[in-house]
Amino acid sequence: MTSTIGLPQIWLLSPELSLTLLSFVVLGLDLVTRRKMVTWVTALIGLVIPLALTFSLAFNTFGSRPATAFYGMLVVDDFAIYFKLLFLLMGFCVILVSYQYIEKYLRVTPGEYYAIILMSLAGMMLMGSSGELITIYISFELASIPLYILAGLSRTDTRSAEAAVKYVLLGAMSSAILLYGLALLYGATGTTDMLEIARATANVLHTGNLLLIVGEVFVFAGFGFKVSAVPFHMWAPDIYEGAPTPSTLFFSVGSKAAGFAALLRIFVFSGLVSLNNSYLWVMVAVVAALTMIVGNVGALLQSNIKRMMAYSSIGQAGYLLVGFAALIIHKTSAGSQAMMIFLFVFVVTNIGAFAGIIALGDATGRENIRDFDGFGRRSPWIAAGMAVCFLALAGIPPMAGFLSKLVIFWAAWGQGSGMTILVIIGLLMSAVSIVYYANVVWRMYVIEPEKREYIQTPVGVGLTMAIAVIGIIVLTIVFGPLLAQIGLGANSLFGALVH
Amino acid sequence: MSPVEFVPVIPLLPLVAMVIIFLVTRPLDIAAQRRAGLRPTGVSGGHNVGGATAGHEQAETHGSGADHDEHDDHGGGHGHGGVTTFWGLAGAVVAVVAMVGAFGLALAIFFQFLGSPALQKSGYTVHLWNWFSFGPLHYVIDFRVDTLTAIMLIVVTGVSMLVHLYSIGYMAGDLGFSRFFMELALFTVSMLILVLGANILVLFIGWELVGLSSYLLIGFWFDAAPPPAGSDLPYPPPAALKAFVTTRVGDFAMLIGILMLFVTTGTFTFTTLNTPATYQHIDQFTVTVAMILIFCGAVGKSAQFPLHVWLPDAMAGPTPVSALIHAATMVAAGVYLVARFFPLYSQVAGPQSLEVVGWIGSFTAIFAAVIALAQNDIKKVLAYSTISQLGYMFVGLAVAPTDATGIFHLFTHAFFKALLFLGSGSVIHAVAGNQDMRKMGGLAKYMPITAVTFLVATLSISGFPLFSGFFSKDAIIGEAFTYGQANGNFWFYGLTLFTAFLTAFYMFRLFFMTFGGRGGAFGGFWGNERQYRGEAHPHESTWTMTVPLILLAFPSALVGFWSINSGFANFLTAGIQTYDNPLFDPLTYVGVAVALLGIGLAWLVYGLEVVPARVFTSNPVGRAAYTVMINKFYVDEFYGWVIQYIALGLSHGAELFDTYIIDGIVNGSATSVQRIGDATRRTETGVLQNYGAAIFGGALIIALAVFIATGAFVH
Repeated sequence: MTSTIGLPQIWLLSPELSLTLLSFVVLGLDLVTRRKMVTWVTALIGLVIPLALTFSLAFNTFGSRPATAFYGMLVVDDFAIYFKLLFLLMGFCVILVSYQYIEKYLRVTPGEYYAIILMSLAGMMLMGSSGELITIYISFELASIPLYILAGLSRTDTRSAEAAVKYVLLGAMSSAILLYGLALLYGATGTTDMLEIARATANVLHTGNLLLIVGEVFVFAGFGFKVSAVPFHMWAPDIYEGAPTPSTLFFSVGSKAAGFAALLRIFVFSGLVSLNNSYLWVMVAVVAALTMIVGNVGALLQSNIKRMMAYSSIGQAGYLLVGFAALIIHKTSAGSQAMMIFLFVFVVTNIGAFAGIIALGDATGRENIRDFDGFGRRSPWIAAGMAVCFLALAGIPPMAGFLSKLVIFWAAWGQGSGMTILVIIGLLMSAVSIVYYANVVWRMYVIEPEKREYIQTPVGVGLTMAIAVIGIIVLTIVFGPLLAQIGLGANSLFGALVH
Repeated sequence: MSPVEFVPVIPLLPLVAMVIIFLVTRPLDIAAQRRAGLRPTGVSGGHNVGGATAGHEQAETHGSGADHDEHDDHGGGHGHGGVTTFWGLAGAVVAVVAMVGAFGLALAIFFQFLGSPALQKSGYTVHLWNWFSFGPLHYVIDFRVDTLTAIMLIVVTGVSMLVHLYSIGYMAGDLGFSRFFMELALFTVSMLILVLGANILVLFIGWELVGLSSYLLIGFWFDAAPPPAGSDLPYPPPAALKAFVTTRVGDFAMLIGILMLFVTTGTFTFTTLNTPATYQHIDQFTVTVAMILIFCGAVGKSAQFPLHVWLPDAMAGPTPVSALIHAATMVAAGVYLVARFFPLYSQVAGPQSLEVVGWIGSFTAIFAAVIALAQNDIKKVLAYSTISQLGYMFVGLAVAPTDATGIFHLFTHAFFKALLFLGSGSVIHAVAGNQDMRKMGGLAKYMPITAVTFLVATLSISGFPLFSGFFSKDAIIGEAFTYGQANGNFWFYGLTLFTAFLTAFYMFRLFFMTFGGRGGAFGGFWGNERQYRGEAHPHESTWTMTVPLILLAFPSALVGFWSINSGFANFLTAGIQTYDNPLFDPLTYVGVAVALLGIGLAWLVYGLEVVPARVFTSNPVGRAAYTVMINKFYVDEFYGWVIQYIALGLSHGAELFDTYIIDGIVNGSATSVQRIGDATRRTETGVLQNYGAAIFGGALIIALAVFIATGAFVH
């Protein structure tokens, strides 16, 4: 553990630092130029810097002990680097897809919008990289507060304002719960450093410690809000629907990935999963089952596609929680490995699905499922891409969505009757999910549209869709090597426990 | 380095062509079309199927009208006015060149196999990719070439190459020209993956991809205007969907069968699966069921009864597509599938599995042939003929001791059926998109090359001695007879023999109605303008279309003779079964007599017209039979009725749900919002409190539950 602030430490923090710097640059550009294209392109190209820095970290810490800085507050291991890359990809796509939409529907200067996204991204990247409770909480807030602003960006739209207010208030409640949970963990162990917590719990504490139990439950609840696990999911449909669609995309992928990154970091890295804690397993399993059921059944009943996507993403969080339950019960990296690849696939497919929704919303301003009637003929390429993404989300073989689901259920299979029931619920809900995903595809291709005129797609949206579809194909092909590579990241969390 | 080591290059070539068209030539083509004013900005294409339906051309709302102005100059039907741009043509040339390369390589591999008994025995496997492993699951992507695959490679690349060339002429001037070649290349890649797969996973990926490309190509003219209600004219979008959904029904059963095999044997690899020793400890009944389920996939893909309904409708696609996908290659994938698992069907599974194959095949053969008798749409006749011939192939698989008999017919059929379809495309092109044979006749004089090549193919499919179809069909009928001698079941023999008669009859009916007629030269074979019943001005097609016809005529005539005399026919049988020259077998002459009877009868009725066609329909029994036949035994109506009954019931329920529950909630909340008026904020805070209560309450309940569960209170 290093105790100075020097170049190596700055280097470890450099992706986030450069990202923050980029957000300032983009914000400042508004003062210099009125050309929105310049801001957009700067934000996109600027992302190369944190990306390159992340890669430089990747090639420096590969296979070695996790590098830490600032008295263990910052941890850079394979796990953190994996999530950093995932967030950068996500940020790139969200900015790429937003250009025409914000110009048309939002009365904000673009620099503001991109800067907010970039700041939130920095927070998300830190969430996966925190080695200490206070840091993880601060990163959590850094990631969340910009999201509240994003929800309310459509200033003239009352739904957007309402969404923002709801999001702020509910977000504040969840962060209160989280903070309480973190405080209890500190109370139980006397330290905020995760590795110290791991040591303390392994040596001193055992099952049934009240503070630890409540702490764990509250931490889980706090991040459960982020990942929209039942019963902390209720914000999602309202806010997804009310927020501008590109922001919704960011909530659905960013919030979820960050929530799970933090959940894995805190539960695995600080050794909480390694305790003999069957109660934790029961809690996660019940929440996972409820989340899958509420998400998938809820999605069936929606008529607004953004609400449907909200419930769909709740359902997807349920599958991820199955992996989390498997991780807790099995105490090996198989569960987290499955979750990590699942998140990757989820992010890519969701980006594509939302690109389609944005394409239609951008052209017509409509976002009901019915408005997708005949979309296949009105916009063949976008519709085809969207169909691929929806079928991947539904887990149709042999696409990546199917493989990641297979891997997560495989990790949970055979871990006792409770997990078996969970897998069966998951399979049933996957079958249910095909109904509402395929319904959209069906409408796009079978139902005659009311209007037949062609829908022009903005370049950014088309490119984002191309990235998503190519991403799904590539993920499908390189699933094996990627899974093996992710295994290193998943192991790096566990590896720390040895010390 | 031997040719077989380069086998992955074969699918790679069309893949590269597809990527080049997608990334380079198609965008440039579209830009050129925009510059030339052919493509109105913002409209994806101005296609219109069937020049005969000129009535609804006016009803088309899209298009600037420019593409209709040039319509008459073009002469062909299909409503694709305009010209092929340089870049469109460049993409097509790339695709053709790629296919020539693929075909050359396939030929080299084929002859390498033919010359090397060791290779025939061992096959050649290429390991491409470890897809993924997770725990004990291992998935690999491998290609494997054996004798069966070597033959399929020839068929797929050969026909595909000629269809690519032909399409340059046939699709000329279509706004979607580049897209067409892209999708054609996609199909070819998929089909090659299907036949090259060394395990079921790869085969299944190819299987689904050919389904997808078939969907895309049937619906190629996806923005065609719907035909007027009640008309029998093709309408691509629903036809494409019907093909996709109907084959899915079979695929679902097939997937279950595959999983059954996987669960019992733990492997996907064909070589392991096809070794009887793998099944030492496995119940025969399970394997039988699995094989019948897998056959269901073949039934869907190869359009066998009762899943045959999609293929006639699939004729709504462009004719080159019908030739390549719905005649020569994709529909034969079902036959390939059964042949691929032949050791399982014949040695491991119970005899019931092959009996099912035989019954479905022979019934479909005669059933489709009967329907074909009464059709007037030239492509519909050919479609039912394809269904019937595929049935033959299944019978060949079911009755013979090896898969060679069925595959031999697949091989010869690919050439003559592709030729028939391409010839019919040439005819349709010549008569401005008309497909109704009642408006044809006497076309031989206008388009001699098409007529001669078409005659070759017709003789071949009818089983006229020494043409290709004769040898392969005779082999099936002969094996069916032998099977009857062994099992006492002469049904397959009788059905195939009678179908041979029907085939000869309806194919020559088609030929006379299209090219000949009473008063033509050679007793009505070679018609002229006096027999022509249509309005358009027919003409011979361009060289890119006639050259493939000529090139296909040679194998259609000769490949059977060559096969018997070169030892190729014994290539697949691995010495278990031998082919002798059928001309020395008295049984052969029964088949020849039956074929000649059919040809003669068609000649009397449609060529010389000494027997008027009315005699069949002038009596009540004949008329009733004719009505049933022309309505295709009402299978479509039956399915429509079933689907409507179920779907209507379901959708009615869904509508009720929509009206009373969803709308109720929406309207209810709307009214309440109105009632509260400007106090909206109050409802929202109320909701927010609920949400907050859920969050805090949820956390507390979980915490409490955990306390109780762990007995923490006791401490």
